[in-house]
Amino acid sequence: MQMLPTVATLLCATILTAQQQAGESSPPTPAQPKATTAGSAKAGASRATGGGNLRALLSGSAAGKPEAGVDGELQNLKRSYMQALVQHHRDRLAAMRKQGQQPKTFSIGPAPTVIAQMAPRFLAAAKKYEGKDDAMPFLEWCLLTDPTPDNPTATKALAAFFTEPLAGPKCAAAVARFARLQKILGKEFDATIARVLELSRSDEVTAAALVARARAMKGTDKAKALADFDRALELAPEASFAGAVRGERNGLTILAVGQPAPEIAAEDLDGVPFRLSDYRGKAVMLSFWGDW
Amino acid sequence: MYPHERSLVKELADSPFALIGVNSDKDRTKIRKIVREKNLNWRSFWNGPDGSRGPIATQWNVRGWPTVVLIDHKGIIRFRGHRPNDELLHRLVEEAKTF
Repeated sequence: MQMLPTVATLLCATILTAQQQAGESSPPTPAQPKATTAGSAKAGASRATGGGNLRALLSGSAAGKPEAGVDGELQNLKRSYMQALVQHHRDRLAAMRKQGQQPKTFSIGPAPTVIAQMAPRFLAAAKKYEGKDDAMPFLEWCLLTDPTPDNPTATKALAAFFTEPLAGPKCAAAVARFARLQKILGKEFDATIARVLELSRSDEVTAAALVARARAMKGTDKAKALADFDRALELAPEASFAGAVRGERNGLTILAVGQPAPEIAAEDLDGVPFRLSDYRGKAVMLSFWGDW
Repeated sequence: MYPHERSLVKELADSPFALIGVNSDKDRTKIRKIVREKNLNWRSFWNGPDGSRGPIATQWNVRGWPTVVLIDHKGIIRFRGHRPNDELLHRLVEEAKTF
């Protein structure tokens, strides 16, 4: 007797996935965001969303309030997309129920039709900021949101991307997320990264391209991925993605099963400092949690 | 997760076992209140004001929540995943006992 999730629950999970797909650089991601059972959709939503930010983003309140300037423009467009996406999934669920279906699983995620509807607005914004680093986040959205291979939005955005100067921090942040292009571009992925490396006009963008390449191959060629991560950190130790890259590097090396656990020395929730190694001699379950 | 974690802590209260959290809420005052209200009976590191992007989660390359890591009595990482692994956990507790 599994209960169907409420629309509100779905909505929450939907936004989450949408935001994740949009390459939003913030909240925690659930362990299994793509297809969920009715039950775990609920669990996922209550345990693993970055709820506050997302709700604010949708309602236009607090942190999600429309801002002035280019960042606000991007925020507003992403919000419009998420609203359209939520509506799309709501409609889909309603239609299924109308036909008497009680879906046990309900897959949520980016919807190519909704993305295609929104894409012209993102591309127009990118055009407006042509020649400037500010164009990059709009192109990034078009490149990475729809995971469908060879989708026209990504193709158009990629063409525009290569007419831009590849130098600024926003460009680098976008390029660092290009590993996701592997699915979309297929065989063209390697050539695309090579072209970014060739046209890059800053160490930061070059580092980002190395990061994208390393992320794409860390499952298949760990040694090469590590070499790319290391070079990227040498080139741009202060880049926005450097912290994450250090963590990923750890993930391939010192965090592997069989390795000694790195020390944690920090405060507890009451402000009292303690160490992970205080518990040596005991079996420890280290649980990364949040009450989002 | 909370009920499962609470019952683990109770069940293994007299065993060489510790559940250690790494909490990624930005607001420490709020989370302290939740810990009281929901009777969360384990100690947690705080990941700092940057929430999920704080230093501990970054160092440990945690990008999905929840993430569980099992560490044996010698301090060796034995498991990492997004779901609890009670079978291995109980084995590690037994290993720690015979140590």
